[in-house]
Amino acid sequence: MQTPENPGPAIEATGLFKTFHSRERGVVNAVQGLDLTCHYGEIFGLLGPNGAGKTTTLRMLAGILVPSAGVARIAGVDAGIDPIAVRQRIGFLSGSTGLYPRLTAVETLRYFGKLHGLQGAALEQRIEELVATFRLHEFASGRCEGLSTGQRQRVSIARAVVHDPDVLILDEPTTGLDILAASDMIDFIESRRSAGRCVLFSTHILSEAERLCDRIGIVYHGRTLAAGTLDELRAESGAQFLEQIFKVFVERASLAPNA
Amino acid sequence: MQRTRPNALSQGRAILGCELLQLVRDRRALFAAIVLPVLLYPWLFAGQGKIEQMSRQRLAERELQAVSDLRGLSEPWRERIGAILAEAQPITWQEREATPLADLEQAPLTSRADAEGRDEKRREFYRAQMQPGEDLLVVAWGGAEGAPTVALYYDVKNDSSREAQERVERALNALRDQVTAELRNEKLGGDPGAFLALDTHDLATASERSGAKLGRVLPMLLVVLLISGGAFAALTVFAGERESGTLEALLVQPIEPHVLALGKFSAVAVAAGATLAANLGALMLCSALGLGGTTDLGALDTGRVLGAVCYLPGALLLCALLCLALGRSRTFREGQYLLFPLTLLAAVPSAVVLQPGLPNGVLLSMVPFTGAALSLRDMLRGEAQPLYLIVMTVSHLGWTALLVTALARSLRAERALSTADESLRLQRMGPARHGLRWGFAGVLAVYIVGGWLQTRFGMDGLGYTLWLMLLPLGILAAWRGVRARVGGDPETGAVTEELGLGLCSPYHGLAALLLVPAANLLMTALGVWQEEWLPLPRAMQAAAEGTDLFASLSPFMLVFLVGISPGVCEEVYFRGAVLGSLRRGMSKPKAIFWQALFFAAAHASLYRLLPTFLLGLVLGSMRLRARSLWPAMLFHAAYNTLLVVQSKEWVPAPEPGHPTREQFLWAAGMFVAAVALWCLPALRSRTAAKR
Amino acid sequence: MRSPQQPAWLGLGTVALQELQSSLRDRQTVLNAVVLPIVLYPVLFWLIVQGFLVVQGHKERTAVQVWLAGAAEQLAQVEPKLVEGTDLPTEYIAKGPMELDEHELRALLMPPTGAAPDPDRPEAVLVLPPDSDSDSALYIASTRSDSELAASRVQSDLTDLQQTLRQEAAAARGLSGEDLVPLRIENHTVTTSRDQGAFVLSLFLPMMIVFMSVMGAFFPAVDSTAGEKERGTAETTLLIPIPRSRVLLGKILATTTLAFLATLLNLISMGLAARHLLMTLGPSVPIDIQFPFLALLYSLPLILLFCFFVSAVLTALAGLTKSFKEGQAMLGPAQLVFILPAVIGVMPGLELTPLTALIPVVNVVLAVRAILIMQWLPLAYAITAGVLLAAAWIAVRLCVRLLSLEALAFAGTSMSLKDLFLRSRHANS
Repeated sequence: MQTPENPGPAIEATGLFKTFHSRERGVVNAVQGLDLTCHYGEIFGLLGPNGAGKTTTLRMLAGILVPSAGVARIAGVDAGIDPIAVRQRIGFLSGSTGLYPRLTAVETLRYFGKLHGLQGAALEQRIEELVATFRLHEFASGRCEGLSTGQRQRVSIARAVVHDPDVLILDEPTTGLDILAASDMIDFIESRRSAGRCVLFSTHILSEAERLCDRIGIVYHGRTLAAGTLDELRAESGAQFLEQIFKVFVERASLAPNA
Repeated sequence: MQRTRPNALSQGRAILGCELLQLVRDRRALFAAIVLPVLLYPWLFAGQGKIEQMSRQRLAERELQAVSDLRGLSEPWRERIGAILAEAQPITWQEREATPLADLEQAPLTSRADAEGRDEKRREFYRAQMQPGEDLLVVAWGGAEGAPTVALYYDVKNDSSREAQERVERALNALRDQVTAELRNEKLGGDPGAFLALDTHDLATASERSGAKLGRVLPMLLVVLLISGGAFAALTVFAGERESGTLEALLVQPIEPHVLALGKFSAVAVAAGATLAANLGALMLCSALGLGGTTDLGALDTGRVLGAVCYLPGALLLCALLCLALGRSRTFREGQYLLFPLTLLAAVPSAVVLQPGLPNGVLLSMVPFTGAALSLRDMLRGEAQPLYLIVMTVSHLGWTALLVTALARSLRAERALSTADESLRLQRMGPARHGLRWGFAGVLAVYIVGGWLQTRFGMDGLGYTLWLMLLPLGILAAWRGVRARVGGDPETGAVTEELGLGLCSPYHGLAALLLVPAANLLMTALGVWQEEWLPLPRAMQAAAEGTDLFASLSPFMLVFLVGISPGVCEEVYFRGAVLGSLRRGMSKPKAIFWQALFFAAAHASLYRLLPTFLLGLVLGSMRLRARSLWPAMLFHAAYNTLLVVQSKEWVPAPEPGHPTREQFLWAAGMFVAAVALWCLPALRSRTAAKR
Repeated sequence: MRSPQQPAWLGLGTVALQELQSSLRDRQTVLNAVVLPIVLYPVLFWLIVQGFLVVQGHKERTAVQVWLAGAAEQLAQVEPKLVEGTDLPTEYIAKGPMELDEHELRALLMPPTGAAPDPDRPEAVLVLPPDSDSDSALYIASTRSDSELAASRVQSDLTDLQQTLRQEAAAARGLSGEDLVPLRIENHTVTTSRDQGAFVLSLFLPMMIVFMSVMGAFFPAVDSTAGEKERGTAETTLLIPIPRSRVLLGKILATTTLAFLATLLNLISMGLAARHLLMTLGPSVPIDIQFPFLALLYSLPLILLFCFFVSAVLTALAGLTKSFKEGQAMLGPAQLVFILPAVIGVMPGLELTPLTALIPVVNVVLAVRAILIMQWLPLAYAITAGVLLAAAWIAVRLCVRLLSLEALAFAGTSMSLKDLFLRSRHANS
């Protein structure tokens, strides 16, 4: 297991705000005061309905979007101040990410490896490792436009970890995957945990979160309603299953006077 | 794990390599953008040349019919002209009486109406006398004493008629030259101006001349070719990235936006260059095979053609423009719409090379595309000046750098990933968009509707434009602006407030008036300076003074129309509605800049752009500083009135560039007083606050 | 099963309206078809006029130096008159007799490549002849812009001077200028100035109309077919209980409407902007170019038919592709099929006859041209209309035949022309 360069939490977000202005909908407060902390060797699930602000949060953590207010630190680096350093430390993958249709799997990996500063023998060796790990042999030399959904998914994952990141951020990683591909995905997430890395992923599939996550954060209307292990959440809400827990928190939030 | 930052150079190379690989693998698009045109050229050239040649030849060989009446001529002339007409082949002649027409032409003209009536009578006669299929009527008279006259009547609309007229006129001109020389010999003992007949010797060699010929074609051609190749690349590199959903993956990589922008820009530039090379090669081949017909480029000097490399900065600028424009489009479709305007944007400034005898200049070298086109032309002609080349290169690279920086900014993840609706730009601009839109609409309205009114009704049209169009438009713009903000029909008070029609401090008003003479002096000086580097063509100078229009008006109307009306209406529109709206979403300098730009553009002349822009800046600052429109109105009205008064020479205007000492001192004194008055309300309110 | 009492046009109209509505709601389409022409032409024309003025001013301001060579007394006679006669910055410098061969003159006029501008270098050399029977020789270098400029100025100055000398000589002998004119040639056109304007327009407007309709039909055609596949709504459309040919016809009608609309707006905006431009140029334009609204009104039915024909062809072709990008790559070259005949159609000497009316595209150009100059050729016009309709019908039939192939009808497929050919043969057999 690798020792992280910074002994603090892998991801630490405090008081994140994000405001958009849209022509149709006016001012949209996508995220309003969200806090979360994840540690190395942990899988953290961000759970919430569509439009709760999950994607925006993850993008802010990945240094893609700049928070309107609040601080997001990845491995001790402020994403708002040095997004490049943050992007070096994370792997990011969302369900909607595509592949370059006219590149082969190996070319894709090589391209992104180069963008991360890998070169020469080190790069080729890393690509071989990834091809072996994700079983890309049989289609490694075909163009991505001809791959099946499962195969694409494997290439995408390999692409996201080409630089062996400390932190992996996945945005609804299993959306649109068939059973086999989804289970591949879940295996992969678990393997990252056992390698001592931090995985943060968002989902609206309760069973997945229940099975996989060490800790769960419930997001609703851009706020974390609760965060903790499943047991902690059970204790706090008094409900047994995640579905009920989720409902309890959402009801509590809508009853509470607007802060 | 300690991570070192990846090397920007190798990242850039990786991006370039990857993009080029993808471009080359897109067979269909490659075929449509590069291979197909190259294959089509020979056909196009050969076909077009052939058909044009054929249709011309057919017209020249066409058997035409003409009618003549030479009876009015004296005997020797009748023979001579008859012989000439018979020579103009192939025309079948018929004789028919046309005495009424000859009589009509010989009667003296009395008035303008008479001339128009005569036109009508000619038409009537022609229509009545000519049979279908007859193309030309020739009537001649005189010659017994004085010169004979030959009149040709034809129909411009008809190809055959025009051709017949050309043939006959050519023959008659030859006759006239001959008899004129005879007459001069007889009466003057030769032509006293004969020695001034010019025999022009062009000292340029054939190869230099074909270089010059190429220089007239190539700049425009390059623009079109670069766009056809570069656009396809830019679309694939930017819109393609969005469409395949890989943009997000790319943006989470540790790349600085400018590295990303440069990498992609280079890929587009390489692709555009390759297309260009392929197409030019095909063109050269066509020309070498003799398919071009009209474009004879056989004797080109290779050295000069290699000099065309000097166009590189222009090509880079064009690629950067393509990247910036198409990089923002989210889909192929969106980008495709932009191609036509983009082509015009680059081709129109390049069209200056079509002007014969336009010397290059420092200022022209700096104009995007114009400078590059002129440099290329000069290079091919062999008259390139290092100074202009350097100015062009530096300025064009500068423009390119500006565009690539803007591209990098647009590639920052924040902007690139948000949809157009949620873009940051909109977020910052908000209500300012309303102002921008109305500002632009106002300019177009003044240009089109106002232009029409003024040509239709003369000076009255100016009044209609200002009072009936601009003023209501301004009030409407303000009303809509307030309504959009408060969400409901606004009250009158809110609209007048938006327009800045609240009362102002009397000190501000007085100060605005006192500023006028100084502004007048400065503007006169500016005019002198501008004439140096942007000379007005002489034909326009008279029109610009507009004295003939002024002469028809009474002094009162003149002051009202030219002096006061713009002061009120233009202020309400530009400083009231537009600036008021802009200010809500922009910083002060930016809002003032934009409204001044609209104000200047509305004057629709490049020569008035700078003066009106500067005045717009002054007026805009006044409006914002005084928090009221009145000082700006007073200043504008007084300034215009002073111009009227000076043009009528009721008071002496300052000699351009050399005001008298007295004028200078007065203006300076009033300026100081104005500044003092302007500061007074602020001081008083400050002291009041202290108390 | 379709109920027999349902009129055939019902579904057709619904499809056409739906397509039209969705197109008009699309910002891009509206921008391209409506906003662009309204803004583009005024801005473009303004730029051209201002650019022309700047160039003109710049040329007038450019100083040129012309050396005069010849006998001293001849120069003494000519030089002051030339200097007096020019009001542009042309400097005539009398140099006395000069014995230079072409090589020396070339060295004088042509600076070595890259040399700095030399204020003493002449732009042209005018050598006056030793006797009055020979011509003057003007030496210039046509590849130097300022030399080209000098040539045109010297030419006009000398022509003026020639005229002056002749008048002076005539006056000395007590003759008037009239006495030296042996023959007058007058040209009278029997065309009204308004018709002359229409004629000038007829030289390029028909071609522009073809361009405008093709450009106008381009995007809607791709959008309603390939675009539909890309958006994934193609299958829904196929499930509509209306014969496929009618769905297609509906799409073509929608495309036609948009193309026609774009053409009209382009024409109007261009007309207004051109009118404005001509007005600013003022009375210096001898002919009265008026926008021929009436003539255009007469040609509208033909233009509409042509839009229908273009839309049918483009929609049929775009239907073979699966994405906007491919559709566009396909239609790009297809545009040439329309544009090239249009260019040919405006060449001089080609006129609308019942024979030329048989060639699609060319016939529209010729017919619109004939209408603009108010020619009345009922037979040719009728043939033109008939040919356009027939061609459009063939395109529609072909398209229906192609789209009935399953491989094409469903989303996500595109074919090469080779596949297409092979498969349509299968379908036929």
